[in-house]
Amino acid sequence: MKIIKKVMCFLLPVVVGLTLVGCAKRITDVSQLAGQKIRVRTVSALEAVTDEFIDNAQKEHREPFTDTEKSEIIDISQLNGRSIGVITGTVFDVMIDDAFENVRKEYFESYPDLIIALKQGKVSAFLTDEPVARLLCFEQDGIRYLEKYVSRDDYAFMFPKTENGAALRDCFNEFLAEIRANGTLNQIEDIWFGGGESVKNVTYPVSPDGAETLQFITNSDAAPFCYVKNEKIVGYDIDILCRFCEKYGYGLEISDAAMASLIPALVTGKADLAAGCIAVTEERAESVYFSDANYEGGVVAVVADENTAGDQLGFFEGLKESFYKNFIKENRWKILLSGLGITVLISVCSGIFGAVLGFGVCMLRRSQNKILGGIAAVYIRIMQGTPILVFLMILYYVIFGKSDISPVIVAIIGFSVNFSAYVSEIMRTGIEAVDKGQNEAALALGYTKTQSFFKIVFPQAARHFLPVIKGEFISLVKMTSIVGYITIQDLTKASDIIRSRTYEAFFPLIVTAVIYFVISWLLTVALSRIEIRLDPKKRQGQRKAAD
Amino acid sequence: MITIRGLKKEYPNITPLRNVNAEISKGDVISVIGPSGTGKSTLLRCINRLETPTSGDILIDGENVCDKKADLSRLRRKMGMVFQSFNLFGHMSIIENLMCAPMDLLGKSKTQAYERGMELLQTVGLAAKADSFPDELSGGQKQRVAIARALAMEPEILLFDEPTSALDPTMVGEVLSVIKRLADDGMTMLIVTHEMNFAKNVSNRVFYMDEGIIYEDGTPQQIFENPQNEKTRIFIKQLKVLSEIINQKNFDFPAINSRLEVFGRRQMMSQKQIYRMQLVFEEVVLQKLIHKGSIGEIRMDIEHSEREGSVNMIFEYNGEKYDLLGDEEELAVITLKGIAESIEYKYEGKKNHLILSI
Ligand SMILES: Nc1ncnc2c1ncn2[C@@H]1O[C@H](COP(=O)(O)OP(=O)(O)O)[C@@H](O)[C@H]1O
Ligand SMILES: [Mg+2]
Repeated sequence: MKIIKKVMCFLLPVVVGLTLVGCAKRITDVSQLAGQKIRVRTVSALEAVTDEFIDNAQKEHREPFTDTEKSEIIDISQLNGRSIGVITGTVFDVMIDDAFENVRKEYFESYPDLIIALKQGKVSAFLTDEPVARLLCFEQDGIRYLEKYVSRDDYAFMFPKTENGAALRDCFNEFLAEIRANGTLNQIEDIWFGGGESVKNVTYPVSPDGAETLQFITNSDAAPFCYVKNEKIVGYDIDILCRFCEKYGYGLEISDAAMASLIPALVTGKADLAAGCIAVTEERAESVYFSDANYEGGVVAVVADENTAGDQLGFFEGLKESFYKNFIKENRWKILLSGLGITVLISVCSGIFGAVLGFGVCMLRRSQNKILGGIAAVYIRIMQGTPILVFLMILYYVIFGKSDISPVIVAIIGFSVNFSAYVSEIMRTGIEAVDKGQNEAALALGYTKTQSFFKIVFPQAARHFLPVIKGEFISLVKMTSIVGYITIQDLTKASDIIRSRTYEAFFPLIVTAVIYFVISWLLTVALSRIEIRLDPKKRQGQRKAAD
Repeated sequence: MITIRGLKKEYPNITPLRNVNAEISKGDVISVIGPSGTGKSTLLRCINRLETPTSGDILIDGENVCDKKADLSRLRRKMGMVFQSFNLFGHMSIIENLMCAPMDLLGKSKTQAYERGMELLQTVGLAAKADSFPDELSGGQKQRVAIARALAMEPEILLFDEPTSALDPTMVGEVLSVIKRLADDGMTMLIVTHEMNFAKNVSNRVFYMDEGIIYEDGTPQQIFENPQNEKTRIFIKQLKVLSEIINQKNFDFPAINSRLEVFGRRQMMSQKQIYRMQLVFEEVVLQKLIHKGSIGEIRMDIEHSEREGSVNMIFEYNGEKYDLLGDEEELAVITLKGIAESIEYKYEGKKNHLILSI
């Protein structure tokens, strides 16, 4: 242990020096962003590193902390050498490298996951913006944050790097300057960063007919900047945005996506602006324009707090409380319900279109024409070989990148196409399993090839392939849980939203799992009915039973 | 009614039909017989165009089936086909099997189709099974339904491709009796079959197919009792043949002797019969012909008819007339006469023929 510390003492100055060189370079980069007020957070990261250095140097003479797992963390320097959680696609990722030594980064998708991991000791800390941290720690027992900033940060809105984007940004900056000057910004800050829930509300702009509608994209997992309350996206950033739209006569359409999707959405023209606790970084500034900062704060480390942890409530009381919090409070069940609706809509539509399309592909695949058959074969190969998530993102951000088609339709197209590839192969196997004699007998009776196929061969094939397609369809339903990636609020996303408000894993996840199970089961039952209708014997059996 | 001219069907590596010519008249009941793989099924399948002939013409009531523009679906309605493997539609009940094509293709109403269907089921004795499904029936029952299904389309001719070959022997009779009744009613039929007795008793004509042609065409009497061609005769008698040629004095006697033994064993002959065969061979060839010298080539054919259990040994040798049974005193002759049931000798085309039945 001592040896390691000594080595670190030698190394640290070197690291600091290198960091400084890096900073100098970055600052020149940043300075090119004319008209933007950006304070460079790396300077404060450097402060942190230097503090740490001094801390370590002092500790050299004391007893080094023996068991890092157990000792209480009181300073960010104690996080060196531990594992730190980070949300994929956030600025904290690079910041950790700058601010800490020798840490292991664990990647998560959302705050609830992070908090659970923190409480369970899977990570020692995670970094987040101070306002978020304050709110998280206020709402959650068992966590607290370290007062000292890991770095300072500015938060701002993002705009696409186009002429329109620049114009909108300038307009927005003008608005910011105005509300800052007249004190409105301070009022808004007081509302959203204070404790009173009742005043935390936004009014969406009602735009006059024919007004331009702004496409706004955000990540609703960033309270108090941006989060879901009573099925509505609200928050500090949203409040400012709504006032802006109101003032300049814009309509507003809000979509919710993963953090990592925001910049792609701007770049591809899917959205006109984005926000949601977005720190200004030079890396991001390469792809988008930033507005002036609408919030200045810093990044802090959130750690587990043994003192406030532990349930005071009894088991059942706790469950009741938890159930209330997750589903009743703020009408959260309605989010689940509408998510469920979307999941069922996407599943059923994709199932139907996919089956129809699959039948078409199957016909092409079986056609005498070698070229058509080849095309179908290639289509099937490609679709079966592409992960559906990647395919959906390509559809949404590349193929339909420039059109403002609803993401639900994109999802239905994506899943239909994917499903069709599987369906066509399943159908083909089923059709080929029907004895050739059946077709010959039908032809010999005088049926044409087409009549024979639809009347004799296909119904018999259907009896072979329906059970397989049924299974494939159920897995399609479960696969739709990834549509959150293209800004759709399906069932899974709904449960993510609830978790991002309550920071609880148990109820949202279990209930979501149960709902998926129930949907699958109901759909299985529905498909089994069709199966029975196709099986003449079972059909007859039912008729007899009814008589 | 059907005229087949110069019909040829080639597959990439085999030509089952080389040149088939035939004339089928209304009311004909024709049995098509022949060894397997000689294109009997192919012929039937060409007639209703399940296969496309390579060349040649098939005229049905003057209309050429082989014409590219032929309305196949209409032509096929004139011909019913009954398959070896029944091919009943598995997803339909028995009565639905009989009703679907008349309703879909002949425009019959549901009631008409149902009534005709039940009538036909009655004639094949299966009215009670109307609501069953194919997989609940025995093979014989399935084939009777298949015949009824073909009849439901009111065809002018019925084509049968080995209708009883996939059946248990106990069920062959019920199917054949249905076919026989159709024959009695004057139905025109072309039946590929291995049931020789049935062919003999029911049909008015028999086609023997071999080598890609209709090798012999005649009445059952002609074909079964007096076949004109060697191949036909071998097939009809279901003969198994062993041929040996001896053309030198010091031929390999033990080798032929042991081939006789193997042949006999394979034909399930008794040890006694095999011994007799060997004895006749030794007496005729060794004792008489070789002994006499300067015989030239000797040809020995052995024909075994499983059905009749008879063995004919035919010797053919050149040279002047020589009836080796002439010397009645000789031991060899006495032995031969003792073994053979009948002995026939003739001198034809400068060749001696000796036929012994044992
Ligand atoms: N579709 C096909 N492709 C290639 N060869 C075939 C095909 N159908 C039949 N044959 C060949 O043609 C020959 C005649 O077949 P077939 O008409 O079924 O004979 P049979 O019914 O007299 O036993 C057989 O050697 C068979 O292997
Ligand atoms: Mg055959």
